[in-house]
Order: sequence, then C-alpha cells, then structure tokens
Amino acid sequence: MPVPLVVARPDRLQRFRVTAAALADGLERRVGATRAALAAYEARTEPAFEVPCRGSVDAVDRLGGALAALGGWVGRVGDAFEHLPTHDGIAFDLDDQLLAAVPATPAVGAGAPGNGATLADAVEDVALGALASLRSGTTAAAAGAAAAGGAGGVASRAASRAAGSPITTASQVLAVIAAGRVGMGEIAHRWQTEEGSATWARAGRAGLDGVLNGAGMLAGGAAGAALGEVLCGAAPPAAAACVTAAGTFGGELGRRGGELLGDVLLGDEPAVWERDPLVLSLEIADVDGAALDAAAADLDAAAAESADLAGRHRGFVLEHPWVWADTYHDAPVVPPPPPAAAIPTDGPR
Amino acid sequence: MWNDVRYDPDATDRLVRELVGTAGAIEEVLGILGGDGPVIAEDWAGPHRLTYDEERERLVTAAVAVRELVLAAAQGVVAALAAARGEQALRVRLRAELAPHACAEGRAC
Repeated sequence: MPVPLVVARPDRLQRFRVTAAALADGLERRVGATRAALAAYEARTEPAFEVPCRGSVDAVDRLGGALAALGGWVGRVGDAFEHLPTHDGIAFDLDDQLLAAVPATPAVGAGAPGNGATLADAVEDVALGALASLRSGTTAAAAGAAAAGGAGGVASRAASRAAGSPITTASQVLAVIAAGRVGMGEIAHRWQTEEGSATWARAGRAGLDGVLNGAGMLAGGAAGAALGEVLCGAAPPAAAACVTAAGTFGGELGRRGGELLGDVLLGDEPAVWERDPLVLSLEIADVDGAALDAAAADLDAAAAESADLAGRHRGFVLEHPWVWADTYHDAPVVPPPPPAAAIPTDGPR
Repeated sequence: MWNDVRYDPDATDRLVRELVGTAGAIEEVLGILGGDGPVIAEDWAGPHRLTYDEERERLVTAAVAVRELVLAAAQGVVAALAAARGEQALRVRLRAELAPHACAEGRAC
C-alpha cells in the first residue's frame, strides 16, 4: 500500500486566504454602492420601463461570499501544514491524517454545500435566476416600446440594435482596463523584485515587462476576437458569445506570450506577488474612475442614439396613425369622453 | 398617454456606472484568480488539492458568467431608458397633435 504523501507551501496558501478576503471585501463594498444606486433607480423609474437588476447584484454578492469561503478553506489547509518541517519553503509529511481536521470541501458560511455541490453552484443558481428575470424584464420593456411604436416593431429592433453597441463598447473598454492593469501589475511586480538595483535600470526593466504583458494581452485579445468573427459567423447572440470567448482566450494567450518574452529577456521573477490587502480591497471596491467615465459616456451615447432611432421611427408612425391607432396599449387614440355631466354644451373650451 | 413617463436619467446613469464598475471589479478578481490561483497550488499534493483545482476553475467560470450578467443588466437599463425617452417624446407629440381635434369634437382637452 503506497504511503500517503502530503506536500504544500503553507505561506502561499495562507497568503491566498488574505488575498481572497481582500477581494471579497472589495466586492462587498461595490455591492453596497450598487444596491444604493439600484434603490434610487427603482424608486424613480416607472415599472414598465424598469429593468430588474436585483438578481445580478445578488449574484455578485454570492460571488464574493464564495471567494471568501474558498480562501478561508485554502488558508486552513495552509494552517495544517504550518508546523511541519520545511525544505525550501515546502512542508511535507507522510501521513494525510494531519488534514483530517480540514473539511474535504469548502462551504459558504457554516453549512456545507452537500451532494457534491461546489461553491460555484450557489453563485450560478442565483446568476441563472437573475438572467431569467433580466430577460423577462428586458422583454417587457421592449414590448412596451414596441406597443408604443405600434405594428412595426421597428422601435424594438432599433432599441436592440442600439443596445447591441454598448456591450461591445463596454467590453472593449474593460479589455483595455484589464490589459492596463495587467501591465501596471507587472511593472509593480518587477519593480519590487529588483529592489536594490540601479533606479533607471530598474524602471526601464519594469516598464518593458509591463508593456510586454499588457500589449501581449491586447494584441492577443484583438487577434482572438477577429478570428472569432471569421469563425463564428454573424448571427447574434451566439456570435457575440463566441467572439467574446475567442477574444478572452486570445487575450490570455497573448498575456502569457508577453510574460514569457519578458521572463526570457529580463529573467524570472518570484511567482506569488505579495499584495497589500487593504490596497487591493479598495482597488476592487472602486475601479479606475477615468476609464469608467469613458464606459459610461459610451453607454450614454448609445442611449441617445437609441432614443433618436426610436423617435424617428415614431415620427413616421405618427404621420400614419391608422397603422397603430388600435394597437397603442389596446386603447383608442382619442381619449374617452368625460362623464355626461361634464360635457360642455357651448362648444370647445 | 396623458401622463408623463416617470424616469430619472441621473439615477439611471448612476446605476449603469455602478454596474459597469462592478463588471470591472470582477474582471480584476478574475485576473488575480487566474494569476495567483495556479501558482499557490504549485508543490501542493494531498487529499484537498483536486478539490481546490475544481473549485477554483468553476468559480472562475461562474465569475465570468456574473460579469457578463452585470454587463447585460447595464445594457438592459440603457435600452429601457431609451425606450422611456422615446415613449415620453411620443406622448408629448401626440398630446400636441390630438388635443385640438379633441377640443373641436367637444371632448375634454
């Protein structure tokens, strides 16, 4: 019977607990801010034109909880290894019973998922419910717009056409943000690694490493998305998901290529970056304001375009009221007559 | 048709900014999970290692889904705002065009 061997680097596992807790804390702060904005939106928007977003925010909340649970569980494994003898930072033992005190699977809160469920299941359950709610809510808003536009349905097509652009634009902005952050992270990482070397050489090498990683990610993402457009065809929404997946895959390949090139040119660096948990948490809670301004401006421009398209269509419909007169919210165009007592007898007022 | 559509562009804009910001935060979480996640598992062997790999991979997949969900919510909010604006413009125009006819026919205007 083979002897069970357990091996780990306890400091890395314990550090992951701190990192995951910081990420979860940042997400929690962001969820709080989003819930406040959502409450104001719901209070000031007519239900027919309100999109249900609570489920989406709940899913982010669950994601943070799952992340903290995974980190806590990994940290407990690290704790179990802490007092074992180490060699080059690696702790080892020939008896896996030392891990008997650590649950076999991580669990959110006090309860175990059970039935083979993973942490992600809890997140996905909420996300699926939110998606269904979002689809029905968005459909209801589009139906309202189509009813207002009468028989054409052009308004809903115009809305969906205009609505198609912000997600592409937002995804592109997010890709640039991600690549920029990867690049900045590599610069900081390399800068910390080379402490003690000459400042100018240190700055140059850190900058080169950051540019290689960020540019590699951007180039890979663009190439992946272009390849995806060729391979996936042009039929939405499957094409959008396919192009997004191809772009993400290409970006990751590009980042790894840039990282590899940086390591070849500049030498290896320590594998795990020690982050300041507080800085990390605040960074997650409030991402780059300027980039978000740009994304929000894009979304706003798309909204204006959509309103313009819908308005132009409705202007046309207004010239031909018979097209939609009997379909506008199933009500007659001319308002119903007032009660008999209020009918004026001396002509229009 | 005779009532204004109730919507608030400022509140909507704030919500969209928060949703887009949240998607950006998840993007950053994904970057860290993808970067540190495999590295901390180097030199890790034992009964919990496979569970960790599976949990991490599925959590990354779920995070990607949540990020897309949040972006889709922002997209829906923008589209609904556009629909509300268009509806409001239509009602204003209808009132202007139809009110004189209603008055001429002896109805309330």
